[in-house]
Amino acid sequence: MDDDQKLVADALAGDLSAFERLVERHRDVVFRVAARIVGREEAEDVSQDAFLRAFNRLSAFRGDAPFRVWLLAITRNAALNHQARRRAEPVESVEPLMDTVGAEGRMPADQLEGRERRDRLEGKVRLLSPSHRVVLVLRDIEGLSYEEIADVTETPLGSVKGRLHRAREELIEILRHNTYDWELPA
Amino acid sequence: MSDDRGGDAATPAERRLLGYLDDLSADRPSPGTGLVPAVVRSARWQRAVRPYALTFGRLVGAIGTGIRVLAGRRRSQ
Repeated sequence: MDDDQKLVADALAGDLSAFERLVERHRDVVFRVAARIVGREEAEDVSQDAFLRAFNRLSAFRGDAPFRVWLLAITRNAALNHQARRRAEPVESVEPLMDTVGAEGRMPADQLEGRERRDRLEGKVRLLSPSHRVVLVLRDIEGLSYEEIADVTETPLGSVKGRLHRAREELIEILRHNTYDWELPA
Repeated sequence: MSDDRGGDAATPAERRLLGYLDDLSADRPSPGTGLVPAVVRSARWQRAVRPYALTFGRLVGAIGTGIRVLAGRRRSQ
């Protein structure tokens, strides 16, 4: 039994501090995945929703896969439900860049350019279809293995690989039609 | 976690894209300090009201069953 499984068992026995430990251990990855899917502004709400869903379903955790994978599956569902409820098209925001300029006006030009590129790319990732976005975030940004992604998305392994390939193609097409020059080879 | 993200890139464009995504990956946003206390507070509250919610649900179910039984008796008379 690993640390997470022990904490789950303690939480199920009524020890709320054990659940608190679980939240502390996984808050960063849950927040990051939520932020990449719905945007940073709403990631905290989605993270809270995901942890509470997990709390209410803790007895359903069987330990077949690591707790983190089980929790990320819940996070993915919470994020996609949140987005579906909102029903608004994601809009690329320039606010983070403007904040950065305001806060760190003396940032060197190359750092500023790198920051601008990251902000733009983050906005473009959110333009992907939900199923493509999730796979690309989990693999190419969070670095999960194909097996872990198959567990998180409840999708066969072969489908994960195919979906990732299509997600990258979709993102390349989006970037090629952007006014910003991404210098992507043909 | 896998650290061989670039190994499965098929085209030069994909390789360039993975380079950009690596930059994004290095930028790791983190939640505010209020997240953990907010989650624990809600969890504590939900755990406190859960027995009452279950009792209320059972009560509503029993009333519904009673009404159905009474309505069935009237229909059969």
